[in-house]
Amino acid sequence: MSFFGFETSLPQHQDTGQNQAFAEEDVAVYTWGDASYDTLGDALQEAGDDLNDETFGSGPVGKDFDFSGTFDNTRQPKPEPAPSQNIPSGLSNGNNAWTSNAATSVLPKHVHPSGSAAAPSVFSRIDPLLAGRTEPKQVAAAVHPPVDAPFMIAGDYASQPRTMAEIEADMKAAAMQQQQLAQQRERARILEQQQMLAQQQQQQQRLQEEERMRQEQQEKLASIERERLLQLERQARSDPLWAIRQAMMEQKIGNQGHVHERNQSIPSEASPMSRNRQPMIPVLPSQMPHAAPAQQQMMLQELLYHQQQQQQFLEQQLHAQQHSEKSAEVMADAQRRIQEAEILEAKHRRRVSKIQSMARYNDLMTQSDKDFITRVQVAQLVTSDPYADDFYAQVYASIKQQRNASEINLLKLGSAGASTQGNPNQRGPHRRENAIQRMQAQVERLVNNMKSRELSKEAGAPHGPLANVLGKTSGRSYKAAPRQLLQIAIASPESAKAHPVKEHEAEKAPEHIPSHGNQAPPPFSRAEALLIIERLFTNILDMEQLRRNKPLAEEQVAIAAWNEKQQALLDQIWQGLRVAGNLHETNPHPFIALIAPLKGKRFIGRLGRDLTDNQKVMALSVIVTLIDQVDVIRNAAILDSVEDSQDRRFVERQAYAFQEHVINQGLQLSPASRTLRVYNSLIEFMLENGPVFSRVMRTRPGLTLLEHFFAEAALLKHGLQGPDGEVISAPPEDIAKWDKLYDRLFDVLLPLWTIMFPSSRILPAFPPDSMEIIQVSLVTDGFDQPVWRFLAGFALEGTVEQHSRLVTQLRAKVMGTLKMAQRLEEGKAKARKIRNVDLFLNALGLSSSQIPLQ
Amino acid sequence: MLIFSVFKTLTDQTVTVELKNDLCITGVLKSVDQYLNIRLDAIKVQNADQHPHMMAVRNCFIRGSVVRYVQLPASAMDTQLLEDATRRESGKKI
Repeated sequence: MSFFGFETSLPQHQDTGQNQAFAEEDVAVYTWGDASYDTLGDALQEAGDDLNDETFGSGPVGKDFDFSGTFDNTRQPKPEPAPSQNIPSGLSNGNNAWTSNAATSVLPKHVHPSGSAAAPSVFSRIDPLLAGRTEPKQVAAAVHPPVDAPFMIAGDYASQPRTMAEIEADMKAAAMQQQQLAQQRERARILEQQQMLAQQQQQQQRLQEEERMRQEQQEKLASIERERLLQLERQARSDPLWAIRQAMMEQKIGNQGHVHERNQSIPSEASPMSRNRQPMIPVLPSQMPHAAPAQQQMMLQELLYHQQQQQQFLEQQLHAQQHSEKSAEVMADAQRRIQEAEILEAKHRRRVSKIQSMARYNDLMTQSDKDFITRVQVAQLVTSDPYADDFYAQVYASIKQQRNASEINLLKLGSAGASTQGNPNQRGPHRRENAIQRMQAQVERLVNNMKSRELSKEAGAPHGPLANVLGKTSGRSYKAAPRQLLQIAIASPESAKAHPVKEHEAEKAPEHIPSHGNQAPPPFSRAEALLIIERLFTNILDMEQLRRNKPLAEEQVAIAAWNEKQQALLDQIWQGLRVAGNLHETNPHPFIALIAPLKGKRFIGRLGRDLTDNQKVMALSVIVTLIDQVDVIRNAAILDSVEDSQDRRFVERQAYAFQEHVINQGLQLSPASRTLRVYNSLIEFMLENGPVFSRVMRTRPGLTLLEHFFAEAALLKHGLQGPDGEVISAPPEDIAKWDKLYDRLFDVLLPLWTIMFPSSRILPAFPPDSMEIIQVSLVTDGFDQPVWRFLAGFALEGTVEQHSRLVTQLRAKVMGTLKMAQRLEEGKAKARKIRNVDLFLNALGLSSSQIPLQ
Repeated sequence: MLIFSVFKTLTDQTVTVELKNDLCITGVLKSVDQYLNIRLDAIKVQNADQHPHMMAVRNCFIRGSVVRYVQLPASAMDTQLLEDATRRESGKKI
């Protein structure tokens, strides 16, 4: 084997007289056995060579150790290494001893392909690597016979040392040669192919001709055969031996025919691919007409088939040309369809590829992984008490469901509290219910585990409140709520005393009042009022929670307990409102102070169904009696301005909240207790303190309140439509009282009417008959409207005499408004002015159109 | 849990999320988790010309910690209920 493609042939000595050649060389020459021989060789041990064969092997010597085979020993003697001097002279004289001797390498001589490359390559001497690359080709092209390498190397080139330029030139030349060779070969190949093609064509033609000829020949032969048979018959009749001879001869011919058939059957069995090569079969069918009729027929059939196909194609083409117009359409259609199909297919492919790409992630998570994550997520969403932890979403969903009784996706996951409430709208697949139940159970267990763990942790925590302030080291739950650093003191009954507000509250509690004696305690501050309201709010929330957890009707004991609890809560709330008690305990009254903030008013609104009618009447009485203390009445002056300001908007909101939440919602009496007597007394309460009443009437909220009572009373006086169609009229003594009250009210209000209009209070500030006053009046018309409405309603209840007094009193107002309307252009503003006036005039049976202006 | 509870009721409502980097994204709320991470669909960015990189974005997932404000649709809120929920929440701690 050669290493790295080095030439592996050993340097050989061609002749024994090479020493002479050495002597001629200008190189050091080592001569052993000369006169100058230093007799070192004598020191060699000559014995013990018997086993050399075993040591070095006895096979033919290969060239495996010939690392410098390219050297010509005759010209370039290699300085022998020192140990070689110890080799016996017989061997040392010629390296050919290695190759010719019996003591040769056991390895074969030409193992490597480059062994043949022993070959006389120019490059093998220069660059063995290059030679290794180029040689196989060269060998193929070269004419040199493969000879033993060592003898082949001795080229002319070897004689002189060569320059780099020469080497390069050689390489280039060789490369050129190679290229040319390749080109030539390529050309030859193309030519060959062309020739083959031509041959094929020719042969096909020839085949066709031969086919024809053969048919003719066959016919001829057939006729000859017939003639011969006839002749034979004739001969047979004449010569009895001939028949036997003839039979033998025919047998011979038959055998020969079989041989031919077998020979030919090999290529003919080839696949259809080789069909066109069949004509190239050297043994032409014509040369053996009888040889294989079956095959001939096959070929014939094939030819005929091709011809038929060609004809069909031509016919089709002809047809197509005839219907070229039609076909154009058809083609376009087909193309369109093809395009569509392609687009569809592309889409499909894209989808499939996407699905495939996503499918990479299929089954990455095991079912237990998924379960774990689901559990974590569910535990986030679900708690044992959804009304505690998920209050908003739960109640919002139920409110929404109530609002539109249709199916709403209620967030009832783990709604343990809600489920006891029993939701009639809960239908849905049974399976889902089951799943939810199972989830609930699971979550409950989770929550319990968590709680018990936290409890045990707390029990074991040595540092008390400071534990984990610097961060938990372990056991951090997924509820990543940071621990509060600011610790608020836990409220307890004992600590209530220490708290200023609570102390105050405690003092204010009704039962504590007597202890204060004559000294009037200070009223609630705003902050105190807010705090108390908040406390009351928690009470109301507790009550609502209690209602959600109302036990089933069957459980008598539970119901009783539940009722008791509710009643206790209601009492607590009522006590908290401080309606009952000394009316003039503080100014403002505690209840009035509580409803002063917007929050307080809203709170009363929510109490609507929890307060009894009695309590409501009591609260209303307090409001009516102490109406001058009510914030909306006190601040009502701000409403008498047309300028938009924050204060004004605030009071506006408060006034609306007072009317809406307190009067209409919170303290709205139930129909059963809505009697004329109640309203009579309420109006009477209002009337009782004269100066206050006239002042209150100049405020919008006060007027609205009176209007509310008045409307209710008027309605009740005329009687209500009962559920069975009968008229429920108020008791006669109440009606009589009402009539008296009305007369009294009429007298009190009559002088006040003009000033009750907000416009009457606002407009005088502006110069009369100016454009400004008209502009402002457009705004005040909106304020005036409730007054006109009340006036109309009030007038309706009056007598004719009272009507005329009203008209006299209000003539100026009516005329002024109409005059202002006259100055306005047609439009909404003007229509509103006139409509306002007509509200009142129509109640009297009059109309603004009847009033002559100027 | 209160805010999480509120957001649960706001799914499929249009909300505006203001991020701490002053990006304002309006979109349909698809989901919220316990970290108040928000997923929005059909998003639109305010001052879109100042945030061209958001032009092609149609939906997004917002990490809860980068949210500054969420503007809630008043129509989908029950203020009174929210007040009550807040009271309950505060009542639990005291």
